[in-house]
Amino acid sequence: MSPIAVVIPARDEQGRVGAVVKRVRSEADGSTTSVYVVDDGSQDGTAAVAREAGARVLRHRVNLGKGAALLTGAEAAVKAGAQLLVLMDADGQHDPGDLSRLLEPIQAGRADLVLGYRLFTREMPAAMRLGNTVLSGLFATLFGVTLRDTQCGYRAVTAKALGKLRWSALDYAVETEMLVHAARAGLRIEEVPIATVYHDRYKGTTPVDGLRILANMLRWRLA
Amino acid sequence: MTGIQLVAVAFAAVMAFLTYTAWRRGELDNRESLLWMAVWIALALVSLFPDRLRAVIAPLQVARLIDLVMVAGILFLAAVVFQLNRSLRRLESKLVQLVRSLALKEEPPC
Repeated sequence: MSPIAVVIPARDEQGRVGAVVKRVRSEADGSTTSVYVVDDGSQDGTAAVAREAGARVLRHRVNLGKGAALLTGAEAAVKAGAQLLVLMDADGQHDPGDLSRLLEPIQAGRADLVLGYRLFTREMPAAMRLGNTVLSGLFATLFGVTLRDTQCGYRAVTAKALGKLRWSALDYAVETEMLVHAARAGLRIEEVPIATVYHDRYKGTTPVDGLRILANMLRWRLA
Repeated sequence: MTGIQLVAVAFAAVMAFLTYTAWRRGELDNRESLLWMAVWIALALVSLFPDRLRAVIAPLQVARLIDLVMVAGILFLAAVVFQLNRSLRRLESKLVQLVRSLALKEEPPC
């Protein structure tokens, strides 16, 4: 089995990151899977909690944003020999129980990039449902690839494909930029359903982030 | 001298003083200090001798002297904002590089 790395960017998540790391470690095969937590300038004990839970912790001394944290984690994982990477959030929005479902299409050789997609049910805040629908629709129009949930950060990708996704967005636009590069590189993308979990309605992507992503999409289309 | 001329000259004098102290403290280098000094001196001169600019109003097809000053000010500010944006981007890029490389260097062994 290929070495797998689960990369978790985290900022001020001492309350949840420990449980997430422990769940990942219990769901995954410990002999082939490493968990990387990138503490992105946290003011709390995120790094210590993650380390205690068994993760390898990399620390950004100041907050750079989710995109930068993912880049650091992915770079460290690939350097350590990971051939398959899973990207997931630290706040418990992504159920580690979905890991095997996310990895299956790559391990079966059908996909280079696997995206989790959430059902847009009432579990998801209304503003998020609207934002995700608009952004996914616009993505399909601009880039010709129809995806159910372009904003979901729960993804699996091969180390080889990761090189083609190399993003420059430091913030929440990273998810969309990855897909733009994937579409342009002709990567095989597959989507799998994942659980929709929202613990905190105020953290994560805001409407302003949504507008920024929208503006970036137009910029990438013109580039 | 009108009130607005007085305000403009006083503003230019204060800014020139701040530029000088920033240069003495090493916060601005020679080139930057000279550039900003030239801006404040120009502002003071335009405020003190506005009639000297009347000669350029006609060829530039500007109706009033104040319009010329406003347009020049907006163009100057646009250039400053552009330059600041460039510097900020460069600085951000360096910061990202530094913070990420420190994180990767400090990564504990498996």
